[in-house]
Amino acid sequence: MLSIKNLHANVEDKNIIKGLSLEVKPGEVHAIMGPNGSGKSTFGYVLSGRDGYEVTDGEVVFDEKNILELEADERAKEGLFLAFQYPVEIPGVSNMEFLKASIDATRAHQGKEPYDAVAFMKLAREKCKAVNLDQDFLKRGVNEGFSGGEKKRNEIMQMMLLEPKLCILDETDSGLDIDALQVVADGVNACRNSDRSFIVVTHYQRLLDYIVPDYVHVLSDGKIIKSGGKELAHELEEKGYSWINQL
Amino acid sequence: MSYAIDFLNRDALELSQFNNELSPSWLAPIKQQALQHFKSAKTPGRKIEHWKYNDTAFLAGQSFVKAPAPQPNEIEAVVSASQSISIESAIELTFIDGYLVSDLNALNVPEGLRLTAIQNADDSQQDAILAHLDPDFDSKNLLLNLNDAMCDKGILIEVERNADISTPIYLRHLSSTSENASLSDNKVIVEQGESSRLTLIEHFESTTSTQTAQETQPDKSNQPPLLALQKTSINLAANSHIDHYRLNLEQDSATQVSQVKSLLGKDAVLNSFYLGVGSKLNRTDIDVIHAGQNAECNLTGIYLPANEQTIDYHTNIEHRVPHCNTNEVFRGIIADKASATFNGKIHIFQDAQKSDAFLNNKNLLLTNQAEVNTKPELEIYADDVKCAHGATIAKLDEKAVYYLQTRGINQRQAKKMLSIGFIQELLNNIQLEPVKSYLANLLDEYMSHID
Repeated sequence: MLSIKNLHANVEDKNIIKGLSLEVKPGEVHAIMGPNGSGKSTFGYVLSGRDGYEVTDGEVVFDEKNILELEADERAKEGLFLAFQYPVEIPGVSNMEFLKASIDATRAHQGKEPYDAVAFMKLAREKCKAVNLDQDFLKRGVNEGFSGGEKKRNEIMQMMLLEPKLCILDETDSGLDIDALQVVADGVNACRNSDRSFIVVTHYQRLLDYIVPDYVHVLSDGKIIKSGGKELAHELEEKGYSWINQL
Repeated sequence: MSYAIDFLNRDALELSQFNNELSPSWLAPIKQQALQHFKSAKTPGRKIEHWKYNDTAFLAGQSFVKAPAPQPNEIEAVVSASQSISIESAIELTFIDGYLVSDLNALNVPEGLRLTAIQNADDSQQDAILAHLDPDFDSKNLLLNLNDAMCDKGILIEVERNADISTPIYLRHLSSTSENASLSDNKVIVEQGESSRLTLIEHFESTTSTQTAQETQPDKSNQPPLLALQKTSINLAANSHIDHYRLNLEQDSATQVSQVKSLLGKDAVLNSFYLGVGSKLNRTDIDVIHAGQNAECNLTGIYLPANEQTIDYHTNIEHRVPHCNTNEVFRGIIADKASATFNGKIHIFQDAQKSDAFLNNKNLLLTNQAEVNTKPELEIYADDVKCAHGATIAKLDEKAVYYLQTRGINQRQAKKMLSIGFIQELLNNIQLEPVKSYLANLLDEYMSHID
């Protein structure tokens, strides 16, 4: 599904990712944990193809394609999804219009017919309900004036609509209360299946109680320095990130 | 009759040069006064505040001749090359180069509405028209004075007291391409009686449909300018209401300098929407005068210059009496090497207590060569008022483009969505459905061609 080998990446000429390797197979959930400044968010941006995030070495093969050559939208259409830590507010563009454009583009890439307006509305309402968002959110500007929790639920709703192959969740738990966390986790768990993989990027072990990973990796200074099972998250929580620096 | 105007040599101009057999004598005194202002004004240029941001080089060294009246065969060619907005049951009037080419007698005009060509005004209508013309007020812009000095033609729209005219009036201003540097002029005068209601659409469109233009493919910069001078003046009596749309959809070579002046009586409501697309130079002076208490002005505008176009809106809102409201919002998206100027002034007179005025201007620059000059300005002499103003200039949010891209939307479409989103709020406020859907399609098409 995803194979990352010796990835190096720069942001504004500063080396942030320094030799990261990771293998993700279909259906697996990988958690990436690490302290502030370890390169967690940069990792998500590099994978999704953000301008200004320059890959200097290594390779990323997703679904047998070298995605480093692709634009961000092409990667998305191949089935890569990034749920943002801070979803962007876009006043003037309605959530509905945004979702329709997104789905249409993705389906066109897959050679599928676009949904007609009625079918799309039905689908969007259904997904809204699944993440406990009021239908009025469809009419509002993208994330405009949404609370932190509403923004995160909106991200999960998009994920459900787009049905990606690989989902990268960038600190999806940050700023969420327990109830919102439960809703988000339920949404993610409902999307889990034997073909779809997840990379869950987080500071805290808490999220991993709700979204139980198959593997946990510790990211420090731009590379993975320790990997293990879900118990590694508990160990980290107990001993703190300073522990890994002594490894 | 033809005459030439050289902007650098105005001293020798005489009124007799402008007049012809159609010129009504009752307009002569005001034309004379306007001509004096035109002759004594300083030549527009960078050093004059009102013209600071305009390239007025096209005025210098050009000798303009009056645009001739269109011939019957031309009328059809120009009209068929233009695109009208289909507004059901609207009263449609067409002007070409300022000349009215529709037959007023052939129109089905509802009760309470009267349409008269300015030359044919009767005595009382003449007084009403003269009350609209104020060469002193307009002397800040010599081209407005020139309009008054030369202009005999136009339309007087009168709405009777208590008349609720549900049929929109749709004025189509078309222009033909001409071989010489030419000057066209036109006036629209609206006189609304007490508690009356009207919807007025002014649509300006230049065409490049003449066969010679297509055959020779002239270099745009060498195309002789057609300088259109247009004035619209609206008097709103007490408690009257107008929904006004002014849409400039022009070719790159078009040059228009115009004014829309509105005088609001007690409890009157002016809702006005402006759109500027195209033009080498399109400059509109918008003057709104609150002259009766509790009057309300809602002014919105969108300007979208591209290529090397220049679009300017100079707004001047005068709160002369207490308890009036102004809500003014303009947004611009400037592409390529285009430029725009928004000069928005709200002037609260000393007696105008409890004035409530809001002015906001936001601009989006799509390229590094795009230019905007914005000057929101409050001049307040009363001490118990509520006023706010602000302006912003920004580029497209790179993070928003990226966000849309991560959802499978390509960069070009993302930029288009964000650009339309920037003005969507103003489009949503358009009340007249045919205009709204026409503009939605037009802007969708326009934004598809913007990089």
